[in-house]
Amino acid sequence: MTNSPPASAQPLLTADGIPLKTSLQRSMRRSKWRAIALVAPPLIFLLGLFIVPIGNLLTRSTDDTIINHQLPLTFAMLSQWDREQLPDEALFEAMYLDLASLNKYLIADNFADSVNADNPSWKVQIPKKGPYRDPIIRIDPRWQLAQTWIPIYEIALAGEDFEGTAREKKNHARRAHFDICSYLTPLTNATCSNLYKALHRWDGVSEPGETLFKALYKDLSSANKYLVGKSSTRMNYAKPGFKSLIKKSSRKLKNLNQPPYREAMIKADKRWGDVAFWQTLVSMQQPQTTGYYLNAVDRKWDKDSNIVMQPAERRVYVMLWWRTFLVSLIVTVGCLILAYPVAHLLATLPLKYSNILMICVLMPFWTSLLVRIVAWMVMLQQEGVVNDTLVMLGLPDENRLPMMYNFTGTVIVMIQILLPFMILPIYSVMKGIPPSYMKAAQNLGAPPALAFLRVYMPQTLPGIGAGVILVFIVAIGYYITPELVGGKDGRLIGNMVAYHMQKSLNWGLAAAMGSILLAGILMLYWIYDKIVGIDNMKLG
Amino acid sequence: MSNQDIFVRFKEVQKSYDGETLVVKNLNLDIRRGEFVTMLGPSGSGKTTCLMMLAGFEPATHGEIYLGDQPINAVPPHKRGIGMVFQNYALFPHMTVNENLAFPLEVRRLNKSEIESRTKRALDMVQLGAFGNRRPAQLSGGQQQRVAVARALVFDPDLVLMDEPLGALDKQLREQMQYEIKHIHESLGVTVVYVTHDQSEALTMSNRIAVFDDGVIQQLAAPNDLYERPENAFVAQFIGENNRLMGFIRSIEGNHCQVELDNGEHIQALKVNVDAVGDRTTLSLRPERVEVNPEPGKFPNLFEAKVEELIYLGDHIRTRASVCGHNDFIVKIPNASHHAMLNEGDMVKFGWSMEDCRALDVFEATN
Repeated sequence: MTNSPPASAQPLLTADGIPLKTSLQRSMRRSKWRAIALVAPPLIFLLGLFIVPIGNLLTRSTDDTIINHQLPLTFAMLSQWDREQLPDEALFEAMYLDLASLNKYLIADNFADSVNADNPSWKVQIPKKGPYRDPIIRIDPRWQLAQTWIPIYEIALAGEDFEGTAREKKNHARRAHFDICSYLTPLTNATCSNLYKALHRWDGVSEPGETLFKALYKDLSSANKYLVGKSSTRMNYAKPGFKSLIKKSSRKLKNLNQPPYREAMIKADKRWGDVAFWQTLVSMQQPQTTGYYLNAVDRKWDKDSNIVMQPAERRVYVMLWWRTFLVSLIVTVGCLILAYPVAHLLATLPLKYSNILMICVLMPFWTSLLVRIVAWMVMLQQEGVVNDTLVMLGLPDENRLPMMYNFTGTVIVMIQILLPFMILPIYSVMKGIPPSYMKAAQNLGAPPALAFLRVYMPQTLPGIGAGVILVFIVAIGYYITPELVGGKDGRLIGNMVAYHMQKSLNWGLAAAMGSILLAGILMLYWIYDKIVGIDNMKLG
Repeated sequence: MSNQDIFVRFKEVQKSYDGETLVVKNLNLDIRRGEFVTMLGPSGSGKTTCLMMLAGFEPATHGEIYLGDQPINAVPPHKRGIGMVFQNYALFPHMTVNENLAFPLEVRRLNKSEIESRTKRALDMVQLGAFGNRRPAQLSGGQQQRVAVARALVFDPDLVLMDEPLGALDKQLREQMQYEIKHIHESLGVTVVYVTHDQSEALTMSNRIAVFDDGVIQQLAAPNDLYERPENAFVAQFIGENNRLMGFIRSIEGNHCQVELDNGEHIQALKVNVDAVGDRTTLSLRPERVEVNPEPGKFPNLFEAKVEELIYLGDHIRTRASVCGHNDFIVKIPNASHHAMLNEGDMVKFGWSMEDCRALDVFEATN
C-alpha cells in the first residue's frame, strides 16, 4: 500500500473489498428498518386519523359538485341569460329536463365544461310506461352495444362471488347494488337493485334487451329522486325556499311531458316566476364554492358575483365568532391570573406540600368533565350554593345573580376546566428557574417586587406562552361546556359546528367553520412565533 | 485590631433551620476593612449559611451581624449594598452581559451615561470589553465567571461575597481565576468574604482563613499559620497532607512533651493543644518535614522505616512507609539532584524535629 491512489480517484474499500459506503449502509440497514417499524404505527395512525380527515374536511368545505351533477344543462345554458329578466323558455326547458328527465345520466361525459346544450339527445323523451330501449338508444347509441354494459355486468356478478355466511353474502350483494349506482351516477348511496337482478339474468354477450333498459330506467329514476333531494338541500343554503320549490315542482313536473314548460312550471309553483331564485343559481355554477365560507361569516354572493351581507335576520355567525374570541380571551387571561401564583407555589413549596397541591391541581383531570360541569351547575344556579350564600350575607332575595345558562356561566366553568392546562406548563418552566436568580437580583439592589418583574417573570415567559396558546386553542373550539351551561347567550362557534354536523346536516358549512377555526389557530401560532419565537415555548 | 478597622462583625451568631440542631454555633468573627477572608470547611459545616446570613437571605436565629457600625439583621438584602458572586453565577439568562451589569445601576436610578461608563469599566476590568452584547449562554464558563465578578463589583460595594465561585471551572481555569480575583481584590481594596471547600484556593487567595467544622470556627489564621501551626487535629488534617500518630502524653516540659505511641515508641513533640500527662493525643507531622537517613544526632526523633510504596509525581516522590506501627506514613521526597534513592522494601531511617511534630487534641476522622 505504498502507492495508494488519492481518495477521490477510487472509493474507499473495507478489508474485504466492498466499498465502504455499501458496507456502512448494510451495517445500518437493520437498525434503520427497526426505526421505521417503530415509527410506523403512530405515523399510520396520524395519517389515517388526522391528516386524511382534515384534508377531507377542507375539501368538503368547498365542494359544490352535487348541484353541477343535478343541473348540467341549466348551468350550461345559464351564461346566455341576461340575469335581469325572467329566463326564456329554453332555460325553463333545461331546468325541467335536469329535474325530471334521466338524460343527463345516459349521455356520456356530460359534466361541467363538456356539457353540449345543442345535443338533440337532451330533448328525447322516455315514455313513463315504456318502451325504454329505443329512446335510450336514441339518447346515446352506445347503450345498444353489449360492451357498454359489461362493466356494470361485472360489478353485478362480483356481488354473488363471495364465500361466507348467508348474512355476509347478503351484505356483499347489497354492496354491489350501491356500486352499480355509483358507477352510473355521482351518488354513492343510491341503490340499483333492479339492474342487479336484471343483469344476473343476462348472459353478458347477447344484445341488451328491453328488461335491462327497463331496469336501468327504474334505477336511474329512483337515483334521480335522491339526487334532487340532496341538491335541493344544498340550494336551500343559498336561498331559503329552494328546497320546497324543487320538491314541490318535481312532483308536479312528472305529469308534464311537452313544451311549453315556462308557463307550466310557473303554474306548478309561482316561485319559478321569481327572478331571485334564478339569480341564486348563478352563484352555484362553479363546482367549487366559497359559499360555505361566506355563509360562515354571514355573507353571500349576489347575482352579480359581489359579496354582500346576509339579510339582517339571518346574521348569526359573525356575532358568534366575536363571542367565541371574547370568551377565549377572557378564559385565557383568567386562567393566567389564577394559574401563575399556583404554579409559583407548586414550584417553590417543599416537596411534601407541593405534592398535595399538585394532586389538587390534577384532581379535575381525573374527574369526568360532565361531573365537573354538573357540580358547577349546583354551585351557580339561581338557587345554588353561591347565590344562597350571598342571600345569607344580605343580598336581597329577588336580586339573585344569574350565573348559569349565560355568558358568565360559560366563562366561569371554562376557566375552571382549562386551569390545569395553564398551570402545568408554567409550573414546569418555573421549576427550572433556580432561586438564586431572585436572590441575585435582590442582592444587586432590586426590591422583591422589582426583582420579580425584571428577573423572574421574563424567565417564565416560555411557560406563559405555552399555557396561553394551549388554553386559547382549546377554548376557541370548546363545545361541551357552552352546550351544557351556556344557555342562549353562552353558545360558541363550536356548538354551531356540532349543530350543523348533527342536526342540520350541512356538513359543508360545518367544515368551513372548522377550517376557519383551524386557519385562525395557525395564524395565532404564526403571530406567536413572530413575537415570542416558537423555540421559546415549553410545554413541559 | 482597633474597632475602627473592623468592617464585618459576627457577634454570638447562631443559626438553626429546624429548631432542633444548630447549623452555626455561637459564631464570633471580625473582618477588617479591605481584608480577604475565606470560610473554608467541608460541606455542611455552616460556612455557606454564614454567607447567606451576611447577604441577608437567611435570618440569624440568635446574635447580631454588624456591617460597619450598623447592626444589619433587620436590613433586607436589597438595602445592604453587598455584592455577591453566586455558585452558578446567577447571570440573568434573558439579559445580555451589558444588561446584567447595568441591572444594579438601573435599580439605583443612575443616569444613562453613568451606567454606560461604569458597565464598560467593569467589563474592561475582567477583560471582556468585546462581549457586552452577548447572552450569558453564549459565553464559556470562565467568561461567565468573570461577568459574575464584574456584576458584583459594578456598583462599587464595599463588601463582596463569593460562594464557591470557581467550583464549576476546570483546574487550569480555576487557578487562573484565583489570581485574577486576588488581583482585583488588591487593586480595588474591597473587602471580600469567600466561601470554598477547596483548601488550595483558600491558601492562594486569602489574607485570613476561617476553617469551619460542625458550625464552629476551628481556627482563624493567615494561610501560612494555618498550614504550619494548626491548632487542632481537624485543621491539621483538613489543610494539607498530614501524618497522624496516636498516643498518650507521658511527660510535659515547658512547651514540649513526650508521647508514648500505641506501639510503645516514644516521640518528642511540641505541646500545642494538650492539657495534662496521661491524656490521649494526636501527633501531626507534615510529610515534607520528614528527612530520610538524617545525620545522626540532628533530630531527637529517629525511627526505623520500611518503604512500602513509591509514587513518582514529578516534582516529588511520594513514599509510603511503615513507621512506629503505622503503615500509611507518608513522606514527600523532593525531586532534587541529590535526593535519596529508595526502592520498595528498603529499610531506612526517618527523622524529624520536635517543632514539626505537633501534639494536638484527639480527632477521630470520619473519613
